[in-house]
Amino acid sequence: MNGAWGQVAGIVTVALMLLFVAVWVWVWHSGHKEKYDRLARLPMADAEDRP
Amino acid sequence: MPNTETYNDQVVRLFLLAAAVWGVVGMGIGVFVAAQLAWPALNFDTSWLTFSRLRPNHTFGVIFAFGGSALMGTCYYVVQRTGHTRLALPRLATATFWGWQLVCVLAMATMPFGITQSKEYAEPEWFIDILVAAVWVSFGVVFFATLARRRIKHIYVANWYYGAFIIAVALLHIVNNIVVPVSLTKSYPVYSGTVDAMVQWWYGHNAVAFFLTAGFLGMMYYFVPRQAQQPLWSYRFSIVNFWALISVYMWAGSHHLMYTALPDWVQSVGMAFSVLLLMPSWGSAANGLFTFNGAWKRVANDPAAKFMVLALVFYAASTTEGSTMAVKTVNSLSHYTDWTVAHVHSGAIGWVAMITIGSLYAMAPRALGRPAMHSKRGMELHFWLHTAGLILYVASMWTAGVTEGLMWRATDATGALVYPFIDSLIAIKPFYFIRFLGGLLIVGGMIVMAWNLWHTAADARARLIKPIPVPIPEPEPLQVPAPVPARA
Repeated sequence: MNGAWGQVAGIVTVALMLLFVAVWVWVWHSGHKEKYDRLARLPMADAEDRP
Repeated sequence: MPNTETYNDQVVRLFLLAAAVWGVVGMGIGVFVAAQLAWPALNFDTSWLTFSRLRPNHTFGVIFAFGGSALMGTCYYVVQRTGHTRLALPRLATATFWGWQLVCVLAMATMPFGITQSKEYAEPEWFIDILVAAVWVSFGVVFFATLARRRIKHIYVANWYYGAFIIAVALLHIVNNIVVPVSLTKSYPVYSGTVDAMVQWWYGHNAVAFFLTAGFLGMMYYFVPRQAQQPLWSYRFSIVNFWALISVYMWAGSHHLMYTALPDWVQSVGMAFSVLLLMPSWGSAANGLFTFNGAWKRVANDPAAKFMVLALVFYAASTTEGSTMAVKTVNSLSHYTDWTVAHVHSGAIGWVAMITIGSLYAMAPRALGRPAMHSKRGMELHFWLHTAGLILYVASMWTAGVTEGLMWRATDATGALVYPFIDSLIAIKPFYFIRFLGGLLIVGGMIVMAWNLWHTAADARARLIKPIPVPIPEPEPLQVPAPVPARA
């Protein structure tokens, strides 16, 4: 592995880490709370047959 | 808005019953080959009855026939319910059922006769591989076409996992099965040597990742909240875990080739990514278990929920074990021993089979037009048979594996090996018998489930089931994609 390739690999790794942090920030954005709370209940609707 | 659309559960019912049958067949073969290891005379000196010929039938039977049928059936069920829409392309969906059953029968009828590529979890020859690809692409077309006509704007997280499972398995299957056929029943891979091994274990590990993990997490993210009758503990966390899992899993395959001709740095990459995998694995397990918070009384009275809780415990345990075994120093003890067998079955019988059985018990009454399963006592019996069998299986194989590892590495003061190989075989023979007993209990439980499903399906067999109407929500303003109008 030459030096230039190592630099590229390092930059890509840091970019992927930042992307992962961005996913956390995006998901925890307060604007999504109501939608996600509603979605968390979605499977419960399919239980009309429960005894 | 008048409600005239109904769910298409016909194909779901077919997959459900096929899963029950393949579960008994696949695990039954597993018990037979376990018996062969305890009593080698059971080979009967017949080539197609030997362990080496039948073992692929066990793995193919439980992973692709049992697991695949359960995954495709629940996928068709979940994508309709979470999208509030009817399954798209119903004829193609039915064709995927018959196509998949044909694949399973062809594979299991040819492998014992030596018609095999000799690649783990990818044994079927090229003409079956082409059929697998055609069925799989059709499955993907039905799934994504149904997603496209959903009436809920957001794609529910279970569908993200099912989608990743479909796309990744197609990619893995095609790349690992690029071969040159030399006759109808024989082909050779285009890869050779270490590259072939690396491609095979990139496939093999990601078959675990995307078939046995992502697909079953899709099942878990729908059926756990449904059965707990509680909202998913953290929807946000489920999204983070999804992206973490699919980003990391692809790079861990080389941990299957520790201490081989594979370059050392590739082995180290596999080890590092395997340890990273702990985070999304524990995240999903915690999300599922916390969803039961406040509903533990329901768990005590509901065998389907019991299966799900224990499945999540074993998911956390077996992924922790897997990450640990990928560390080179631990791997030097565990590799080639029955510890690996214990780990695989802790994941397969503990996580995969239990989340499948729990989900099938949750889905079956609804799909089969009954208020509940035919026998709750049968479900309870199944739970305890399965749990007892699982504990016997993994405890015996852990003990056998560590015994083998320690005996193989033992050296005296001169550096010579202390034990001849035969001594380690003699030492572990009692554990092979215990493993056989464990397997027997598990298959017994599967037979109880098949009996229970058969009786629960009485109305379905008599064609008395009324289709379930799709609850059609009011469209959101400027909804994209636009909701599909109701149709008869």
